[in-house]
Amino acid sequence: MAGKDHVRQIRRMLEDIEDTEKASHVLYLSSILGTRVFDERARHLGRIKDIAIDPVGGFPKAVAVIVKKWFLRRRTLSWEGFDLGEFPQRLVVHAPLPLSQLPRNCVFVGDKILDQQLVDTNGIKIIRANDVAFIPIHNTLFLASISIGLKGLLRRIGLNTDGWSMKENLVPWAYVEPLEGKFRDIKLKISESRLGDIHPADFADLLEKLAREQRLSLFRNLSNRYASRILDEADAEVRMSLVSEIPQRRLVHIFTLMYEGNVADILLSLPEAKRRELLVLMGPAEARHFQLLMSCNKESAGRFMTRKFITVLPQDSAREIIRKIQASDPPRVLHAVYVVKHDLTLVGTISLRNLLISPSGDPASKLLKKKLVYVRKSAHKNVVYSMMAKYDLTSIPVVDRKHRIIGVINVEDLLKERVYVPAKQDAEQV
Amino acid sequence: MSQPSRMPSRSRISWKSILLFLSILGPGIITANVGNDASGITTYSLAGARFGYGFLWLLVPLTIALIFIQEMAARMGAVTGRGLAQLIRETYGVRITLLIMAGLVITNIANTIAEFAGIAAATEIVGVSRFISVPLAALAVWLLVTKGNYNKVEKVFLVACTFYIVYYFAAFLAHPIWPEVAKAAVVPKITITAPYLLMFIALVGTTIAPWMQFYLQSSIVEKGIDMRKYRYSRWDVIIGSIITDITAFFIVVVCAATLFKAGIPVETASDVALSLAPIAGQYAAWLFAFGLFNAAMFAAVVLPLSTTYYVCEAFGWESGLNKKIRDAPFFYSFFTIMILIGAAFVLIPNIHLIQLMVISQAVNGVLLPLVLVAMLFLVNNRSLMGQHVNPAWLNLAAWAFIGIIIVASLLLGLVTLFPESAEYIATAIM
Repeated sequence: MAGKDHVRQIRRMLEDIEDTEKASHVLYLSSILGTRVFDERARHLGRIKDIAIDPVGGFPKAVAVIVKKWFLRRRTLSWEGFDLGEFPQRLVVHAPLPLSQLPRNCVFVGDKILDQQLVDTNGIKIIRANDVAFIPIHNTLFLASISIGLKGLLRRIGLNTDGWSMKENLVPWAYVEPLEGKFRDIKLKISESRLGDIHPADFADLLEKLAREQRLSLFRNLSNRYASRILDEADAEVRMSLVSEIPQRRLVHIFTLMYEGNVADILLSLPEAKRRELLVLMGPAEARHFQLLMSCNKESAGRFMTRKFITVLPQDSAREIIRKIQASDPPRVLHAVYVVKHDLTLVGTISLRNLLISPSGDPASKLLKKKLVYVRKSAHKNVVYSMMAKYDLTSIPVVDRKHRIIGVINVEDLLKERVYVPAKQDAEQV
Repeated sequence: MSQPSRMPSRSRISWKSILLFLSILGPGIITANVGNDASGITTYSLAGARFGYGFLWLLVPLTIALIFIQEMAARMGAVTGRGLAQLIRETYGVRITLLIMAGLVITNIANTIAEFAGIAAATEIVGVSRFISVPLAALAVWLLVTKGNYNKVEKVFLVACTFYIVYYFAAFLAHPIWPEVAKAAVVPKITITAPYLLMFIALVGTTIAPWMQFYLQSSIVEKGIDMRKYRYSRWDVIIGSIITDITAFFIVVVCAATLFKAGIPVETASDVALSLAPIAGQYAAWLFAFGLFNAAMFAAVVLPLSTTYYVCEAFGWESGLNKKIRDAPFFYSFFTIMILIGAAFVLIPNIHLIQLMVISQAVNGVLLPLVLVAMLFLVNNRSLMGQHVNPAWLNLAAWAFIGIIIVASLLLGLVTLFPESAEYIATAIM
């Protein structure tokens, strides 16, 4: 999907912003405004006066450009067809598309964002927006962040700051919330309501960009559930730096909401003393479970399994099973329920599909998948993956020596791993 | 209220409206009065001492111009809820803002130094060394602003305003010939010579200083005056401007009736006070010195304060007397630095402040038309002011005034460079 691709590219570019060596990836509004625009027959259309963005999403796209020639002729062109190839000397537009009507809700960056006041959530004024940073991808411009530092200010008075060792002080757009109303303050939203809109994976990336203080204060305001998802998504380095900063009691609470494989990884990379403290705080059942996970090989099924799954008895009817799911604290991922005897020995798997389409009076024993597929906790992840691929499974139960269910591996958790798939299997899939 | 009335209703003046007026009273009266600061008093004194009653006529049109311009600033503050520096930054961008700010900061630092010099001069007349009076004054000024809130500080300022009455007494002690004074006040007498033009521009510049518009607008905003209360603020501005110029009138009269008559050359305000004693009596001299001390103290608070207001507004830092030091660190540190510079300069032995004052006057001369033009465009901007833009006659008057200032400045430049051209210009005009 093109959209996904963009996001990945943007993320890479965002990382570059900090890196002045690669600053060529970033275009600043101060350098865009005033650039001459030509059509493909090299006719001069005017200079850029302002750029309009569609403020939807984490990285808003430029949608329109105001081009002004001499004093009076002012035209609004669609960004479509603009070619960044010859920037900063000039901008070429293939087939200029005049816009009689601007897209709804679009925001003029120069007018509504540049030079406006940034206030924090308490309404205290912080600084003004000195410049606006865009990231060009192919010929699309994405608004990435607002520059609030001295460097942006110097650029605005016409100094060429390329190659200066001065730090560019940027606030990611994701933290910014233009306030509606008569005047145009911009709010730095460090409020949870809007943070919820950002996917935890993107958010984890943004966290990396922040100083420790900011990161801490931001993290403090997050709900445990959201925080657990961020820890799940963050890469090892950020994750460990966050873990070291979260108070232990809260951390244990967040752990219970996280993917258990990640928790095991975190616990294993902590110093012995701290790990033991956390395990004590967790309570015996939880601690035993994580000790089991940690004892498993990093590549084995035991490390990927979760104990958050739902079991039913063979005589339970479909109606009762659905009611049981509804009454339970539903696991983050739910593909199937597992039929077990009273001593937890595995009888079979019921897919949610079968559960939903069967007559509500049918007992569990009638809804089972034909083939009972399971793995042992020592199985290598490549084997688990191959079995899932072969039998078209989205989850697979893990059993111990006595055939009792001890966990479930969901395909989502396996996907994050680098799995080696033998060529033969690949061919079979196609 | 279908149509918000521009003028206060004359039909009924109730106690309630009088009380409301008294509560709104402040920004206009204070701003106008601070216009009569140490350098203002010096300028008026020199005008009287060198040209007799020759400049009295100018005070009437100057008062009208002051009212017009102050009213615009107050109206902008009430309608937009924003300071002038804020509006300039948001509308004209970084370059023009920095240009105006640089000019304002230079002139205000020079003026602050002049205020402390005034304090030193006034106290030394009574025999107190500047090494005692200036540090004490600086401390008092700093404490007043950092420890007080807006309401408290405003009350102290209003009390300071009433002390200007000493000049009225001084004028009567000087025994002027009143019919002569009355005639000079209404019959203009213009000569085109370099000293006359220099004095003309100095008088305009000290009565309608650029920083006054910034200070007035900021304090209207900080006082929370909106369009509902604005009609009372208008009278605040009108009364303030008239009182201020009556004070200026009497200062000119004092010096014209004594020093000009006796032909005593003076250079500074303390010269004036010292020379007054043998002619008008010791009381007149003391009154004059006390007036100077009061004005200098008052302006030593307001000038750094106003500078701090607009620098913070321009860069978007939190500002205001009602803010805590923690919330507005830049505001308080900038203010402190201004006071320190002002006080320290005066204590350097053998320093000549005249050159500094000349530079400050020159910058002020360039700045005044620039700020007025920016104000006129802002006050006529419908997206900011809505229905409260200037009426046409006011625009006409304001542009005429700006034209006169520019012509006077250009004439001064011409006459200074080519003294022989003065006669040609004089005959051409008459």
